[in-house]
Amino acid sequence: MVRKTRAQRIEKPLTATELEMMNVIWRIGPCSVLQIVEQLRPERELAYTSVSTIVRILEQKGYVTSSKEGRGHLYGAAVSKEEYQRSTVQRMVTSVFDNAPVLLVRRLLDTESLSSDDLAEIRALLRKKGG
Amino acid sequence: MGVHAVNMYITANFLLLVAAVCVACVRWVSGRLANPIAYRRQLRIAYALSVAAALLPSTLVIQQRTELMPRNAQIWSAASMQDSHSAENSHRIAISIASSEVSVPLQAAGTMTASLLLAGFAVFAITLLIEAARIRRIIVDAQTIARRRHVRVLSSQTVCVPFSFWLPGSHFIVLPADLILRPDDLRMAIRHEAQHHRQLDTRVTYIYQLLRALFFWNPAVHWLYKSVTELQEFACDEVLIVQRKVSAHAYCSCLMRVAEAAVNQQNMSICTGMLGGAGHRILKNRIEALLVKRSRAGRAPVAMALGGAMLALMSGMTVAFSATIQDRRITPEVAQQMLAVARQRGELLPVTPQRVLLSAMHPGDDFPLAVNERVIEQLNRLLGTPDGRAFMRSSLQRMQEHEALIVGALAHYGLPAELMAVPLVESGYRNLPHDGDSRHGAGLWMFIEPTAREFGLAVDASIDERLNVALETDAAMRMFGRLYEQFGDWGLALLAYNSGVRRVEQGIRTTGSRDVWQIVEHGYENDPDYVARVTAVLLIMKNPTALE
Repeated sequence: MVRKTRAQRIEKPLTATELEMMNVIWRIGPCSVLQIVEQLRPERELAYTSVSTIVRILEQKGYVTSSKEGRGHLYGAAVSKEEYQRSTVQRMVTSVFDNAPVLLVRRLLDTESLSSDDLAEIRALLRKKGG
Repeated sequence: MGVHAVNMYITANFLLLVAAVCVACVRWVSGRLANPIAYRRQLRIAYALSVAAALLPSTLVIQQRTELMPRNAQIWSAASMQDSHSAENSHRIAISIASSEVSVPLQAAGTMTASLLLAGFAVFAITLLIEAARIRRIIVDAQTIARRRHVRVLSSQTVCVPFSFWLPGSHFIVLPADLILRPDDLRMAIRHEAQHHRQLDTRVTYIYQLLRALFFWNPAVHWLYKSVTELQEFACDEVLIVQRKVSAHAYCSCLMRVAEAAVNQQNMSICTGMLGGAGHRILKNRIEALLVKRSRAGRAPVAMALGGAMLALMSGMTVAFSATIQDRRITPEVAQQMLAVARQRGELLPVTPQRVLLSAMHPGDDFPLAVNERVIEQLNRLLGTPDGRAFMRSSLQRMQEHEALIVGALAHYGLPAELMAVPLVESGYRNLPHDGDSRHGAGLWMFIEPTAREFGLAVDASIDERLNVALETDAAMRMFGRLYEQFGDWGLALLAYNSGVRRVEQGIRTTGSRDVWQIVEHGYENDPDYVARVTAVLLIMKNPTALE
């Protein structure tokens, strides 16, 4: 069987619930379904079976890899949070900002109230990028 | 075979209409019973009737042609008298309703109908293919959440309503991704869709799609399909509640939630959705049906009786519609039969004293009674079209006016009664005046001017004795007598009457044969197919039932 490439893996975006699960896995590292359920409580009452199904869907989408651990499985992230953020921004630039990243930055500066520290960091990043 | 196929298609259309009405009746009757017929039985009746509607017409091939329908509602096809002579495919189809008849060239009608049907079929097939492509996209993008033997349960972000779909070897159940968060609804949806697979709905739907494509223009087929998809849902609900002990209340709530989520979902016809083809309209009825307590038996005898009666009705219809279109073209076999009758009977006219005398003098054996391609073509022109038949009928009617005179003349000169066919071919027994063209004749026997003068008829500006039937008939008798004396063969005499003695002699010399058909083959006729036409008219005169 051909191993799926990273580009293909990130092709399928996450639903809101799937993103919730991924956030848990990114936060606590490889974990069991039960651990995810516990992490989501008490704000989110999800059945164990639902979470288990969603994690298996994540595995098929290529976001998660599983490894046998005793009687159960441990699920770890196959895509880092940074990679996901990058592909999400890319998707957003293409679909919402007409392929113009400048528009995205402008809108970001317009809407987000940025502290002077944030602005200093952005400046530093731009200097670094510009060489 | 072509006519058979068309008859089968027409019959199938009627039967599908009957099936649709019958299914509606079953549902209506069941709705009025205190203890209604189980939906799964209604569904089985609907399947049986649909299968019968599709298959019964094929029994027409085996069955003999029966004529239960009135003749004037029949359609028949043949070559027309009005068509130009050289046209190869001059067969026409004529539809006679009451006293009016419409006739169009058969090939044009056939081509047009076939292309309309093909175009409709293609449009329908293309929409189905587009739909199949959409479902394929959904399945490719979906994730498998369970797999048991041949069943794959998929979760998809793009669908709002659960649906099931069958391909040879695999059963798919596609669920909206959101349903995973509600495990009870998820379980219910899977059971519902699995039941559709179990009662074969997902396979049967292909048969209905094929029927819809083949009979796309027939609203009854779409109506039947709609009824069946509704019954599939009702039957599925019923089985889950009655046999599989699902809580009716929980089931209804689940249906309601699915319906809420489905407001924007497009309907797809090659898969079976949880809400059914009709969607929201039947949801209310389904919930009502779910809340009525049903027995497990569900009126099996009533269902059997109704189904049986309806099948019998459809079989009867098949027989009644078996010969909607009759191919009335004269085949070589029919022509041979006519020839046999003609040779056997020999009687052309009602027996009169003159006729007895005449038949004693001339048995008419050497008259060119034969059946060949040319004669069959002429038979078709005269018998196989409304205009041809009308011409023959009116000509024979007019013949009666002159019959006594001509029969008397034939007896006087000792000529065969078969010559009675000549004025019918020449003028249709009309005493036609001269039209001004010197090549054309006048009168019953259509003498041209030089011939008329040769046989002692006066033709000038003041008088035209060709229009005197008695004088012209007498001249025709003398002319035929002379021609027969010269050639010793009625076929050659006939040809000479039309083309002239010189051309016939030339034909005999060139072909080296005294067979009239062989000479005709080499183009020695003045009017094309003259001898064949006289022969055809003779065959019809000796087979008067052919005109009925």
